[in-house]
Amino acid sequence: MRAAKLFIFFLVVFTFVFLTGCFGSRETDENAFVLAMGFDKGEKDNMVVTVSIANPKVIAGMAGGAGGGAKEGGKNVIVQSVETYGPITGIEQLSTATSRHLSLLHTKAYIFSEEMAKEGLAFWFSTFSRHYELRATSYVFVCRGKAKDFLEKNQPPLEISPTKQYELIGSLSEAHGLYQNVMFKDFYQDIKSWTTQASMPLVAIHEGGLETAKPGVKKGGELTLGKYIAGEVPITGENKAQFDGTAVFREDKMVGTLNGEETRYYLMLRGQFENGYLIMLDPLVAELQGVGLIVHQARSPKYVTRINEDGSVTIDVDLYLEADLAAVLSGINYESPDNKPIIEEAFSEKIKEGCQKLIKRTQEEFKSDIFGFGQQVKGHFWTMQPWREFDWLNRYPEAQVNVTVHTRIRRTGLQLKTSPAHGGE
Amino acid sequence: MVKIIKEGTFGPGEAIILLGISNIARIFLSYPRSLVEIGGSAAWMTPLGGLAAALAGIYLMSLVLKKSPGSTIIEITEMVFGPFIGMAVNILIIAHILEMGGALFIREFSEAMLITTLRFAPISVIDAVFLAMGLLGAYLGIEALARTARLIYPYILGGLIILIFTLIPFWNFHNLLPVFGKGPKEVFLLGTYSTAGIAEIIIAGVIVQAMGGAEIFARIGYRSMLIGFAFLIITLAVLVLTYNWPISEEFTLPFLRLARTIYLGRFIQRLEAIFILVWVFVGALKIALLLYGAAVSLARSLKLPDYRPLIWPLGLAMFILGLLPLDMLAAIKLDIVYLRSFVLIPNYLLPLLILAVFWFKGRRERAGS
Amino acid sequence: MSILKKMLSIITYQENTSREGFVLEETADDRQTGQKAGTSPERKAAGEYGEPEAVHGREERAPAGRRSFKKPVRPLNKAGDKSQKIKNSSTEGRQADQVSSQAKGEPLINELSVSSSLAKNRETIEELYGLPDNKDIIVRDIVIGTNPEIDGFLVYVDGLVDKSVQDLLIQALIIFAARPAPQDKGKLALYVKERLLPGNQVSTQSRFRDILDAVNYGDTALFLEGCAEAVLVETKGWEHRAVEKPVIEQILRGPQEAFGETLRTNTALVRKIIKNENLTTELLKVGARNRVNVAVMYLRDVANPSLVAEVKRRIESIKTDFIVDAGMLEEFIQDSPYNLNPTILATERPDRAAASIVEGRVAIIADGSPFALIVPATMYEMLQTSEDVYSRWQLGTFIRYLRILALYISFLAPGVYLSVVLFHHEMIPTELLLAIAGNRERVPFPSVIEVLLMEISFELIREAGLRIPGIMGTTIGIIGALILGQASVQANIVSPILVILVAITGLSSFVIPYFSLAFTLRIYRFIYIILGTTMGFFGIALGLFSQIILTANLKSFGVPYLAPTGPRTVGGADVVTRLPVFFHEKRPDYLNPREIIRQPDISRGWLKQKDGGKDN
Repeated sequence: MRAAKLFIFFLVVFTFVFLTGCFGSRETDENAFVLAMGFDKGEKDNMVVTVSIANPKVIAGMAGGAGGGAKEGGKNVIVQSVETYGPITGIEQLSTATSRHLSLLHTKAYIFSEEMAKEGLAFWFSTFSRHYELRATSYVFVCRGKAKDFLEKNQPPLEISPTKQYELIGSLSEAHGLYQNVMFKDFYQDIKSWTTQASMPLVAIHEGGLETAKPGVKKGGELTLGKYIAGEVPITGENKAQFDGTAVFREDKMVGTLNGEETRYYLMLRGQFENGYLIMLDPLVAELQGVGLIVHQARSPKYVTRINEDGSVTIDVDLYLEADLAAVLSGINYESPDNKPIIEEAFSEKIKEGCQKLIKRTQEEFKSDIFGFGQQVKGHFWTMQPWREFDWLNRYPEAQVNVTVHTRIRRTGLQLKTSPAHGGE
Repeated sequence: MVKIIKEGTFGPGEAIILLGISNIARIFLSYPRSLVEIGGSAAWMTPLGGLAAALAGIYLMSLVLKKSPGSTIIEITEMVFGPFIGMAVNILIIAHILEMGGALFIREFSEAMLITTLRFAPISVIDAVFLAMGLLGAYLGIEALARTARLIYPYILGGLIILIFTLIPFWNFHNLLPVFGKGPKEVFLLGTYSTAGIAEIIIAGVIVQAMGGAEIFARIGYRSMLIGFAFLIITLAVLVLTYNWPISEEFTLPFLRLARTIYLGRFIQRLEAIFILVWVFVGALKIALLLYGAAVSLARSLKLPDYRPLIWPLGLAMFILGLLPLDMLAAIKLDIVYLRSFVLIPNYLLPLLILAVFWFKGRRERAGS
Repeated sequence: MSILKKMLSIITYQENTSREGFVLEETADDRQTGQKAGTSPERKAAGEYGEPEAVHGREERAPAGRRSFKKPVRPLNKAGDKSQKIKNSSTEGRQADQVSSQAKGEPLINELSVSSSLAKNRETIEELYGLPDNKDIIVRDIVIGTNPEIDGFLVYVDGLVDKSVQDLLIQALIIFAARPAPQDKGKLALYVKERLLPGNQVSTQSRFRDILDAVNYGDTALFLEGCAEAVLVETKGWEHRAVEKPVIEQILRGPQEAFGETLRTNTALVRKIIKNENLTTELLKVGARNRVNVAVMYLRDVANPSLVAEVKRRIESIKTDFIVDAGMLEEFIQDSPYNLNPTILATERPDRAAASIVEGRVAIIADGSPFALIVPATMYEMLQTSEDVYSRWQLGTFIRYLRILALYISFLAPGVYLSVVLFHHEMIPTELLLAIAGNRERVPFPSVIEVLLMEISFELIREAGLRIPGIMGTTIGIIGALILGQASVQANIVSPILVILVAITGLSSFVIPYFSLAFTLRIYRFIYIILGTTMGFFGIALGLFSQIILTANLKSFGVPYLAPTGPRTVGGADVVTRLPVFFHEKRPDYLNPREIIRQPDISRGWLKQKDGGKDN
């Protein structure tokens, strides 16, 4: 009798455990992993959702070797699109065409097209924020043109796995500062925040080759290398995707773009600029020659804010930059202690001009405080109510911002003296 | 007083850790979210008032327990209020509240587990698993629970420290401004009211004999309250530093969200599964402790020789009661609105009442003699 | 005509008159036991379903009683009424033993004593031993050469005695015993013992039970005419294995001697290391039919007397038929036989046993078993080897941490792999996940089946490796590697990542020094596989919590199993991190020994003074 009871007990336990379908366990071959998602504005419905699905056979075959064979045929991602109401409905509809569950657990990049960004992204972000499978540390981009085209044509030849591209982009942003690195959670915070406005890096596909080159300084154009935004940089080759520039948002709608150089000033003002190669005009030479400097930010900028009696705000920003002399095309010996301060002065002036222009542009054209000056002003208030009533985001366009730049040239590379090119006297 | 039930004993170190871990358990649920709602960017200040109230509560309880060393709060209640009212008070207030607390905790932990990993499992299964762990723990006795707590605490502490250190790159100290958040009145008053509602004081009162008696009760109590509230303050601070407070208000499970944000390069991401281990340990310990407390208090008030036969019915009742709220929101609302208020009664009002009665009796005796 | 007869005999039916084959019939008392057991609820141990005897159309067998489970006897309080319960359980449990022994009248033997008449003694001996059928037992008549002469006979078991000693014995009695015999025949045995016999252990006994025990063990018994006592001379000398290297616990640095099967050799090996007069060896006898000698060794001025008393109490209260190995003894005396973790440490190295004795533990050595049992044992001891102590402390500490890592890997790795691959895809980096997914595309089985296949085949390889004769031993390596590893990957039955996983798990389980604990972990591994498959990390957490709380609750002879971290006693200097030897000042605190300090604070005298502290 006891035997029977024990047996039935164990039978119940095992049935119970195994018959409930193991509570949603999914084998890896029942899942299709979406690596990047793109959103376009749709014609008939709200949006066109494009997913880039990983093809594990090919990726494992390329990386491993147990299967043998050089080219297995087939790409390492599969791109599919559907026109639908929203992102989650899009995923559901796409699963009618794929044989597996689509899983967003490894989606590392969300790409929104410019048109969609101009209409507002708040709904879609809060949908995603509630979604279980979201990775809050995935990257978000704005795409010029259609995101569908971007995902289809983005085939970095050096990468086996596409997600590596998006992850490495982050570290590249620290290397030159031509675009910034925005995670999902940062953008989401900035949408809902009362102190800062959001921004996203720009991506695009470039079909044109070298034709889109803009005129250089000798032909009347600008000197800097950051004068392009994504999609305009004149590069040919197999790799068509380009990352350059920033999209500026007010609340959740996109209101404009910044090119690479302006992005650098923006990052400097935020204190997030790491490294970059900047060119400036040689101050001691009449013709338009360039001096190249490798710049990085030595310390976080210092902010001093004042709220005057009439409610207007004055902000003084001090930027501290350190530069290494990289190229002197005119041959003047800038390493000597007499000439060095000249360069430093000129460089500080140039940066200050650039920053002031950028700030004016955000105040007048975009009317959005993407720099986060609000965080500094917030310190004047003790509780939340007065701060809310102060309504910084609408007062920003009237704020007075003064930028001062301090540059020091620390090192001069591997050359300590530049001799003139025509052999000694 | 007659020591009816044989309990093991354990040292003060283990007692502090056991009560501290039990106090931490609510951090892993949606409790910090409601504190951020109350305090805004000053959410980390809200538990300060609660800490002061909890320390005062420990002091009061230790005064009560010193009146009759060698017995727990149950026997003291009977001594003070008389046999019938005393038994009624014991059952209705102490055993009942512990039971309700346990039921609600089982429900909340299972909901948290569902949201985190096993999305498609029926909730009764996860409830049953937690219940089984609680039953095992309560059956093996308080000594086993204390030893387990001692063995587990490095992992819990380590988990929290890892969380703090890996999130440092994302911290933004301006999120803590404005300093007083939604206003000092709201922060301190409402905050105190919300955070003072802990069940540990009464549980400590019930298991006081196993911990070593009334003399070191105060020391144990102070330290475990400090540990629990320190964890809460640190978690809230990290939460607001990482995500600014309008967003922190939105998360169902803030701790889960923090764990998901860990990002150390390409390889170490989304490690929340490791934190599941920590949660399950803390949850199972707390449920076992509540079940044990309820069973022992019921057994002592009914003067039964052993508490173990009561574990199964009380556990089953916890399980069923836990399934009663219709949805997760109802469970959370029950927690915020009802449990936190009701649990103040045995923790603070009961010792105050007992002390008042003692004082009155003392006055009458002094007046009489 | 004969050919016709032969053909007829082939095609006609011939009745089979030969016996049907050997059938084991019930004996009288077996039937009795069956009837008795049918009415009483206690029967054989739980879990046995099939019929115990072959059924060949037997009508007169008593109907076997309903197979009801015998409740495992759980002593109510582990310290309290255990003795009573054991008496009750032993009387109920081993009914067969008692009934059959009643049939043979064995208790009568216990009261038989030697009589003065030699002929009667000889009759008794012949009856007890079943002579003359029993050819092992030799009875040799002698005449002792005193004057007047005395008749007598020797009884011994051929094969168990040392012939040369016996020669001396008989010589002494027959040839060199030219002395006057004492008048009082009763004191004859004493006289012989003191003056005539050259054996080095001589005693006189008057009860047949003791005489039989001694003769069965290898002594020679001398019966004398007119004396109501017999003289027992110690002449043990049988074939035994020499002291060899340890088989299971091999270390690089340290002594390479191991226990053998002879009790005296084993105790001598321990005495060789602890040359102390306080080392006490108590001998107890266990077992009804094979009367095994069990030695309990401890240091009188260090070990806790209540511990020793408890050990002796448990061993003496065992009532069973037959104990061969220390493993059976371990099962009888251990605290929680139903818990998977072992609570008693078995070692085959005398230096380890000696070190434990000096710490304050008790060593139990059973005759016939090359393993000594050390009690009490905590889990940390099972993860230590002597090598950690004999090597430098950095090496010891490093290897110990490595062992702890191996401990976790050996039972958690497959479960964690399964829960990550089935539930928590987000935990692993994308490239790794895609590699795993790509490799698993070709495999037809679900992950669980894959893992179980590999695990079971690994267990099969392991067991087969034990049984294979040495000649074919190398073949197993080839079979294992080739067939089960490489070929199954190429046939797409398992994915290569899984082969790596199972190999690492198997390796880790070999790193655990104590084999019993390694077996336990093998079983845990299967439990965690099931938990990881059904509930992911939640299941693993559930398993870990239950395991921690059950293990923390375990006690080994009054010492908590996870001391010194379980209940936080004073941390020892030798638990995980091994401090240098000059820091080991105290014995482990949880043993509560009589003397806890074993080294003074400054144990290296040469640090203080130039001449090493010697007086000049």
